[in-house]
Amino acid sequence: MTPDARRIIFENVSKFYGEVLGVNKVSFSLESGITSLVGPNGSGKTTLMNLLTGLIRPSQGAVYVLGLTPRHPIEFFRQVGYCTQFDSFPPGTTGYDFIYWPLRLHGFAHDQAAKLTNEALERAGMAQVAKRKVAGYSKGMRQRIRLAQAIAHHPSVLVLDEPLNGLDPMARAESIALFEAIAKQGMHVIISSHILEEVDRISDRVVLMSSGYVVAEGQIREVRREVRDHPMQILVRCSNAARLAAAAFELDHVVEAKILNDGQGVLVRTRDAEQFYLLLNKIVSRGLVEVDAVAPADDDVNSIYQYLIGSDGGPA
Amino acid sequence: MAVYKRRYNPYAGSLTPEWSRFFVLTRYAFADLFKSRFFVLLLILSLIPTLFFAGYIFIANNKTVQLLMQLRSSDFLAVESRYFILIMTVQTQVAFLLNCWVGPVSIAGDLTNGALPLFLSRPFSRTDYVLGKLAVLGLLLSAVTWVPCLLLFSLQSGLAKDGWIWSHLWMVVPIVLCSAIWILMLSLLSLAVSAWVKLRIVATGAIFILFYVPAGLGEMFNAIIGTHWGRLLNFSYMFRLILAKGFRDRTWFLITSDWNEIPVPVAWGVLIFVCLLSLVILNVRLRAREVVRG
Repeated sequence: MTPDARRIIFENVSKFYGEVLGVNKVSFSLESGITSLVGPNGSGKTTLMNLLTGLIRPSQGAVYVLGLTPRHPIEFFRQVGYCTQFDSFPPGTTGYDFIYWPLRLHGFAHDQAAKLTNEALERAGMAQVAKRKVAGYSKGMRQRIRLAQAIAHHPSVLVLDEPLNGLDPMARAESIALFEAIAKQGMHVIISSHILEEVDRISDRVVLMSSGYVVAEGQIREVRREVRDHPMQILVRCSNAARLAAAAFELDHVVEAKILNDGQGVLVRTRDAEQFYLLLNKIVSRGLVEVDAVAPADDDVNSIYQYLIGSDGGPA
Repeated sequence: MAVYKRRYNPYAGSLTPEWSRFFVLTRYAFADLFKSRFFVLLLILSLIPTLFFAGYIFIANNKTVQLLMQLRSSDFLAVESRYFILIMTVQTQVAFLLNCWVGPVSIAGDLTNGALPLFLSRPFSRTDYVLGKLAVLGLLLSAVTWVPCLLLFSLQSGLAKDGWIWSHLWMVVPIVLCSAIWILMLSLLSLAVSAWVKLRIVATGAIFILFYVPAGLGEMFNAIIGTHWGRLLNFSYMFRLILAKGFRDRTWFLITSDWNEIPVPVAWGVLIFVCLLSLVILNVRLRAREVVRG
């Protein structure tokens, strides 16, 4: 079967470093947009990224990036841009050189490489400081120059290892805006990050990893729905909280209904959110309560991370 | 789920030939090397012996200058194969010293700075990487070995006339071949050391140790066992053996022992073995990621 030329596909991929497990039996298929790899240190995120960028080969299974494999490096690496997490640069290198020379490795002639370098510097907001040595850059500037290098050759897949580390809030917001802009053009953006709030905000889907295994993959709300061991939390801001709590308790799947301290709402924990929403519809249509707002309280990456991986980083 | 318009188009223009891309690394390394004043000074110093050799050839072929300097033709070493062995011996030692300065930092810097993932996540293989680094040392050491040697050969051909060039044209082959194996061995060995040892001073020391300690151990082995095969560990000796054979000069003073005690093909084999061993080390060390165990 010909692999899909628009998707990133991992087919039962395992990678062992001698006896050390990198990742084990990983399978997923990603479409364009922003995908976040989330997991504790040592969970296999960087191994997965190295596999994705062709830096290492799987011990078992196959990786297809837009239908290509690293066995065809010229086409493969033209499609992939990789921003590593290493914060070290060749001594004496300027920001311009750091982007220009790798472009020459890609096979761009001088004029084209210079044009693409300037374009990437502009996009990353680094044009003003391009001629300065990277050694004199702040941590945020270093992140941005790495990002500029990763996007300079116009890849279709952008792989970013911890791209938000060390950035101040302003630089972080600018970087996220750049990722979103790139993704909206139809690129694949794969981000590894520990900053769960931002992952939650920008990601279309997540791949949750622990101890070399993928513990969940998909759109965040879908993943949350699949986590049945932990009842979903729904926050309802309403006028008659006691009435709603009493009605909720009549349902078998509701395990907790807690009236908020201000008495203006209920936090419900239920094993079947759909049934609860039906009940809520009925109550509201009968005029028993006036609802101001209904929102899931734990269908974010942070909650999923806590439920599936736990604070100790081990599998839940 | 987000819906994206596919407005993005990757670059589809022309590219430079794939085979030539390793030179990008070479150009970058040269640009970096020539920023160092010490390196430029070292390079200039390594070409000074060539100027002396050229001056000698000029005087040896110019009766007027000899008369002015009150020299007799018999005072001169004839500019024959032995003279070119001398030039080669001096220049290959100069190449060794130059290599000890440049070689140890070739790869160590990239390993320290985590630059390998940067290079290898491009359409650029480990072979390209080694070729790029090898080309730096190859070009540099060529500039102080066979290139000046051939220039001196041309100078002598031009000054000697009387068909000297035709009767000595065969010397071009040993000049190029002997330089090639010496350059290849030095370059690969120093790259392998550079891939293993990150500090320049330690790496430079390691190269000296690799050349002189095994040679000493070999001589000890010879003295104890009463054989001559211990000299296989003396790479400089193996090279001089090849050089003497190449220039058809059995009496060359650097070969102190019997000509036939170590066959020349064995000497070639030793140097080629060192090259292959260095390649194996490079293959082990040059990875796009570092695995931290334990």
